[in-house]
Amino acid sequence: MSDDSPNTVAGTAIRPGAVRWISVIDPDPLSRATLCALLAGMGAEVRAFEAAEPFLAALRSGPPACLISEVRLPAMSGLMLLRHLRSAQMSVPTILVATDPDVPLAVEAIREGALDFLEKPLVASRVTRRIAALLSS
Amino acid sequence: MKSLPTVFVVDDDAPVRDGLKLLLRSVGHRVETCASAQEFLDLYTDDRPGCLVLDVRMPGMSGLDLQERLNERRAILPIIFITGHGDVPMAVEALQAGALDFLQKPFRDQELLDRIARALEKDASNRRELVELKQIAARFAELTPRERAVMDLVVQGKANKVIAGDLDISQRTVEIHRARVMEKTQAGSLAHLVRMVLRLQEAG
Repeated sequence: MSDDSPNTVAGTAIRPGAVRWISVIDPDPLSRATLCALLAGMGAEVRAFEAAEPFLAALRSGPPACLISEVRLPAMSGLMLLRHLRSAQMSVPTILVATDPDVPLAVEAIREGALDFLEKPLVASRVTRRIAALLSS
Repeated sequence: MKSLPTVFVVDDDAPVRDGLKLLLRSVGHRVETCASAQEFLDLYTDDRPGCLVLDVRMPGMSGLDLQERLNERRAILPIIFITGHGDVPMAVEALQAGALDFLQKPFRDQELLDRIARALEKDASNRRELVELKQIAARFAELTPRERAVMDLVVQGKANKVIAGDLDISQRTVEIHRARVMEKTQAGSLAHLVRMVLRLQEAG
């Protein structure tokens, strides 16, 4: 992640007291940790997962305010996860991320219901801005 | 008054325009081409069904700018973007703004034709939906303020007796208003009435 801004981007801090947790799914430990640190810096409670399946298991205790998931996951892919959530009528605002994505993948992600689709390496300020917009809507 | 669907092609590149025109005509589509976004804005009226095949990058007003202008005037024409560059953020932006598709060159003729077929179907069903909504809205516009007030409470699931209390009128009067509401809106049942009210609310 290019650290073009520290974890306190103006106007993107989550209001204190708001019970909001954000899920991160990424099999890569480094990018997972980086993203978690960024989100924690926004004041969010973050729950991170290495794959879609443990995330789905954790959903039973309630959906997150939003989800940031890598497209390429060990078993169920990010796109399959979106389809699964939709068919289960679970509404989780989701941002998909991928390394070197192509246009057809981006088109499919939005078609499948992703609210946004970002290219890795992630730009910190872009992520926080999108999350803040997502959580305030 | 009902006009045939037209595939509008907007691309600043003349050979691309001509090629697309030939291809689309060869399969029986009506085609109109424009060399710029402005030219399209000047000629297009929202009552014309069809779809728009739109180049992303053009000098002057870009394809995304044109999409924004069309969204502003609430045009419902489905848009298929075509681009020569694998620009992911641009594709995301276009789809988020409601584009039906975003196609990267080079693509096979059939790929474009399939997407156009889908776009024309989508446009036809959107327009049918709009006509239906207008008819429903026209029926609801016939209601008197009092009938509307009764209807609002009816669709909340309130019983006649409760509505009578809320509006401080007799139960008999509620029954009469309620019957008029069902008649004017052509609702076959309470569920039907509720569905129509929800559709109108969703359409804003």
